[in-house]
Amino acid sequence: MKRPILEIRNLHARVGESEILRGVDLVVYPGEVHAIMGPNGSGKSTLASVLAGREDYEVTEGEVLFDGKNLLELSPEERAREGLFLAFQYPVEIPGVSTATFLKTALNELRKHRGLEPLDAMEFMTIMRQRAALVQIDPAFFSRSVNEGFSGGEKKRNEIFQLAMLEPRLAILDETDSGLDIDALRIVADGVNALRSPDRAFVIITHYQRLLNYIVPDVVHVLYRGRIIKTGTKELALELEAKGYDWIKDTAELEA
Amino acid sequence: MTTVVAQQHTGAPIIERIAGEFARQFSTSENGQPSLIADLRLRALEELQRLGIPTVRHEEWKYTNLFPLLAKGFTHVVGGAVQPSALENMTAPLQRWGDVVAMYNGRFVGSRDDGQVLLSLASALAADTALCARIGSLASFDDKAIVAWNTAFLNDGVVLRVPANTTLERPIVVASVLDAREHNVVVHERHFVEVGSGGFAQLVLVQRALGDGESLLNQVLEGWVGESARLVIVVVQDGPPRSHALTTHTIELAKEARVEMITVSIGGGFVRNMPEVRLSGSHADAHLYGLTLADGTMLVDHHTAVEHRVPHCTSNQLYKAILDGRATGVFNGKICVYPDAQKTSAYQANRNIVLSRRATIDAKPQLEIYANDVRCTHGCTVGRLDDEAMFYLRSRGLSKAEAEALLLTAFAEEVTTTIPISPVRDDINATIEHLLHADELA
Ligand SMILES: Nc1ncnc2c1ncn2[C@@H]1O[C@H](COP(=O)(O)OP(=O)(O)O)[C@@H](O)[C@H]1O
Ligand SMILES: [Mg+2]
Repeated sequence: MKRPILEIRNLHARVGESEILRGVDLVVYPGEVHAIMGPNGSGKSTLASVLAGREDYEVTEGEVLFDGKNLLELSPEERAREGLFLAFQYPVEIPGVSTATFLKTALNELRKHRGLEPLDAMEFMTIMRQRAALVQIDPAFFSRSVNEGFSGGEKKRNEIFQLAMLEPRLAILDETDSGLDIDALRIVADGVNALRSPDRAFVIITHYQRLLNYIVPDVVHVLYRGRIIKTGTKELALELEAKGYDWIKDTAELEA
Repeated sequence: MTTVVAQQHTGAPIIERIAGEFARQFSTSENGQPSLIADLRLRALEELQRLGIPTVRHEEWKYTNLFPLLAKGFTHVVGGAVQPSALENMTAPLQRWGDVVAMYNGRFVGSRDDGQVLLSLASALAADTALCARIGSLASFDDKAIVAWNTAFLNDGVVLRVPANTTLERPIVVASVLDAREHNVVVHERHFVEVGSGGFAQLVLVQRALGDGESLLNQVLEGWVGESARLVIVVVQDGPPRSHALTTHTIELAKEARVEMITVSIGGGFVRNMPEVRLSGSHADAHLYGLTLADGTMLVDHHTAVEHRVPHCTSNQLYKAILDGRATGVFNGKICVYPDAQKTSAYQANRNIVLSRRATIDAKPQLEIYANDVRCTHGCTVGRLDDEAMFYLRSRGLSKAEAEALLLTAFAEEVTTTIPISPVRDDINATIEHLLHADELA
C-alpha cells in the first residue's frame, strides 16, 4: 500500500477570535483526485490557505502530514519546494515582475531543492513554451507582469500554467473554475487532466459540480461549517447539484 | 556657552573659513579672469555671508541638517596634479555610456574641449563675455546659500552647446572625480548647457571618489532648452558612504521643449538634489524622476521645484525610495503654477518603501497654484511590501529574501526604465539587482 501524500487529522484553525476549521480530516493518496465542495463561507479557502502556509491563520489543534512530514512547521516556500502547489482563488497581480523572471526563479529554486542544476535560458524557454501550450497561453504573456491586467480567465489559466511548470506532488485548486466560460473551463480541465499522473494528487475545491464533468474525481467531500460532513464518490457531486446545498445543511443539522 | 550655540546655528565659523579660503584663492591675483566673474563671485560670497549656513529652522532645510556633514571639515581644492592613468582607471568603464569628460577636483581635464560644442567653462568665459553675463541668470544665488557658495568659488565646469537642429549621437558623460587622498575635500563645479531649437542632447552626471577621505561635490548646472529641443540628464549617485553631493540643476524650457531628469541615488553619504525646471514656453514638457536606495546612515533629499510660467505645459514627477537601516529619505516636491499658466497639467507622485523601523522618510508636497484652470495631482505613499504578493511568490518556492528582492527590483525599475540611454539603464539595473540581492545574503 502506498503512503498517503496528505494526511489531515482533526485540523482546527482560526482567524482572530473566530474558529473557521473545526476538525477537518482528510487523507489523499498519490494519483487520486479529491473534490471538496461546500457552500460559500464553509472554510474551503481557509483550508487551502492553511495548507499553503498563509500566516493569517492560526492552527489551534490537529496535524497535517505531507508525504509523512509535519507540514505545519514548514514555511510557505519549503512547502512549495517539497511539492505542494496552491492555485489561488484570487491570483495576485505583481506589477513589474515578469512572468518569465518569476517562474525562472521559482523553478530553479525547486530544482536546487531537488539537487538539480539551474536551467539555462534556452532550456527554460523550451519548457515554458511547451507548458504554456498545454493551457493555450500565448508566449507574449511571458514578458508581461505576473497577472497584471489579466482577465479573470487568464489569471486562472496562468495558475494552471504555473502548476504545469512547477510539477508539484500535490496540487490544490481553489475555485479555479469560478468565473470561467465553458471554453476556458475546458482548457483548464484538459490541462489538469494532462497533468494527472500516478505520483501526483489533486484536491479540487469547487462550489459547482460543473468542473467535475471534465475532471472526474475519485472522491468527493462536502465541507460545511469547518468540517467534512459527507464523503462519497462522484455521484455525490451530482446529487448535491440536483438537491442543492440546503439538503446537506439539513443533514448536517440533523447530525449535529 | 551661549555664543557657541549661536555660532553653531549660523555656522559662523564655517562661513569664516569659507571667506578665508575665498581671500586666499581670488583676492591676490585675478589674473586674466573677466571682472564680471570676479564681481559675481564677490557678490555671491556676500550673499553667503548674509545668509549663513541654513539650519533646520529654515523651511527648505527642515528635514536635512547640513551641520553634521560640514562638521567633517572640508578643504577647498581646485584641480591639481593627477596621474592620467588614475583618471583613466576611473573613467574607462564609463565609455560604455557615452563620451566621457573628466572633471578633476572641479577642473576640466583632457582634450575634449573642441572650442565649439563642448568646452571648458574656464576657457569659454575667457573668450566670451556674453556667456559671463548669463552665468547665474538661471541659478540665482539669492536666498540660496548652496548656490551662493558654489558661485563664490566659480572656476570651471563643462559648457555644452548643441547647435539648432543638431542631435548629439552619443551621450556626454561628465565624470566628477574628487580626490580625497590627502584630506577631506569640497569641490565646486559649474556647468552650462544650451540646446538649440530642435536639438537633442543627453548628459550623464556621475561622481567618483578617489582616496579614503570624505568628499563633497557642490554642483550647479544651468541649462536652456530651446524650442522643440530635448535634453536628457541622468544623475548617477552610486558612490561610497564617504562621497557626498549637493546638486542644483536648473533648466529652462522654451516652447515645446522637453526635459527628462532622472536621478538615481543608490550610494553616497549625504545627498541633496535640488532640480528646478522652469516651463517658460507653451507646450513645454518636464519629466523628473528619482530613485533612492538607501541603507546605513545615508541621507538622500530630493528637493524639486517645477515652475509653470506659461499656459499649456505639462510636468510629471515620480520619486521613489527604498529605505533600510537608519537611512533617511526626504522628498519635497514643489509645483508652482503662475497666474497666467492656464491649462497646466502637473503631476507628482512620491512612493516609499520603508524596510527598517529605524529608517525614516519625510515627504512634503508643496503646491502653489495661482491659476484656476489647471490639472494638478499629487500623492504620497509610505508602506511596506505587499503581504499578498509576498505570500504568492513564497508559495511558489521563492525564499522570503528572494521574493523581497524581486518586488523591490520591480518597484525600483519603474524609475530606471525611464532612463533613455540603454547602457546606463542596464548597468544601473544590474547594480540595483546586486544591491537588493546582497541584502538577501546578509
Ligand atoms: N482572513 C480572514 N479574516 C477574517 N475572516 C476570514 C478570513 N478568511 C476567512 N474568513 C472567514 O472564514 C469563513 C470561511 O471563509 P473561506 O475559507 O473563504 O470560505 P469558502 O472558501 O468556503 O467560501 C468566512 O466566514 C470568512 O468570512
Ligand atoms: Mg473560497
